[in-house]
Amino acid sequence: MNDYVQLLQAYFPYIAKGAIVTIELTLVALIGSVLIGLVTTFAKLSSVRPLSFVAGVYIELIRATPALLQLFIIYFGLTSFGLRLDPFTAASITLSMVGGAYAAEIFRAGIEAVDRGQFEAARSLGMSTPLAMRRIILPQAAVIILPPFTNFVISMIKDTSLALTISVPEIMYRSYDASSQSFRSMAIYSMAAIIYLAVCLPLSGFARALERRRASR
Amino acid sequence: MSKTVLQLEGLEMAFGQIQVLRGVDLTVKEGESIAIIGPSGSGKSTLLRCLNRLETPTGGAVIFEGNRIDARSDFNRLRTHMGMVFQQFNLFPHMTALGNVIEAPIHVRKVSREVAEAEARLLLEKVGLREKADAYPRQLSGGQKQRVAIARCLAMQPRLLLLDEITSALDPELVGEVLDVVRDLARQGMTMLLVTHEMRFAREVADRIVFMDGGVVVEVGPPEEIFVRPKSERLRKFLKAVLEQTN
Repeated sequence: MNDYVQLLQAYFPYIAKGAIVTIELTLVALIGSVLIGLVTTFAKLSSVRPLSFVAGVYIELIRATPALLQLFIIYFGLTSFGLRLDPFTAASITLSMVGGAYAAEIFRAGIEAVDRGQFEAARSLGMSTPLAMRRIILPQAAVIILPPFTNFVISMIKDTSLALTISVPEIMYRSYDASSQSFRSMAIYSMAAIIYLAVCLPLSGFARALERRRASR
Repeated sequence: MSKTVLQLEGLEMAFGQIQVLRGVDLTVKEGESIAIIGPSGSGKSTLLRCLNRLETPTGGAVIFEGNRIDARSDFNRLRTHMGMVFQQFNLFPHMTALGNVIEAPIHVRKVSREVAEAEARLLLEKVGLREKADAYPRQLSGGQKQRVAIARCLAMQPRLLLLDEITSALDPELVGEVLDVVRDLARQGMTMLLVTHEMRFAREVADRIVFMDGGVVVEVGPPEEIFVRPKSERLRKFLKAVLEQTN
């Protein structure tokens, strides 16, 4: 028991500090994902054929390859073109690109779930397409999107652990490091699990509450 | 003679291979209310939707207030002059009744919020819903929703009103309150094109009845001619079927 307390004292603060990096990476990647996601959604929904084609290809390429592979292409692969990114930047870019493709599909589903009549009513009042989107469609789509988007945020938090492989000092990297120093894998990784749970469980509770609220409407 | 608001010349519309309108001619004078009747699938709703370009006609001409509407026309401006009320109301669920009515005046007509709200309250009063200004659509009955939708449409001060089966989604006991509003509008000289299944109402408010079948106008005339002395066999059959249903 005393042994555990010592281990906790020795490594928990070190691993917990990784949570700050994990959260930073998550936030940067989320902002990137939303921006890329919105652009991709509107491109995909656009009546301009080449635009919607490119958006479709982008989404399919990202979804059909592992995120780890994309991370390696951005971090290691781009060095062949003389582009050397620091690990945090490479991870941010990769997770934004991956997240953007998935977010685009969530956004599109939300927009398409708004009754077509809403758009027609807005148009029949003389509203332009962008105005109708902004005032009528997107506010309704946002409510529909919120639960799947919360789940998306949770996946994003977990996906930041991929950055371990390019030595971004986030939770997983530090746990791996601590475990190889202490040879106490079970205890160390349990600490990491507790930190992930502490961040993700409240979020998934929030998502469930949102879904319940929508079901009762 | 009052001026012509709308003129249709050989209007055609096809969804892919399916020809829905096969050359519709019609002239609408200012202040006239015209009821369009006919069996389902005859192209009545499509006709209305082609007028404000929710659908793009595949042939013929729409001339609104002397201007021919084509692909280069400013549809947003056109639509502010041609109000439309839908069968399914299509109220904006995230806005109150008042919010629904002031939305387009503020963002499209660019009037101030104060002016828009003052106008909106008058319109809500006109449709008998002054006390429901702050209610959300989900708190309103079907008839109330449709009356808000009419107020929302009137807030853009349209010169022509397109009413697309506006009582078809209502419970029978709520139809009357909506028709009362339309009757008032007709009396005040609003120019209207209404697609309807309410034969008695069409007969009462319409100056002229248009009977459509198979994508063409089969007969046009004043209500007493259409309902009392139908000329074509198709109209006689249609009226007989409709009357049998209501009796």
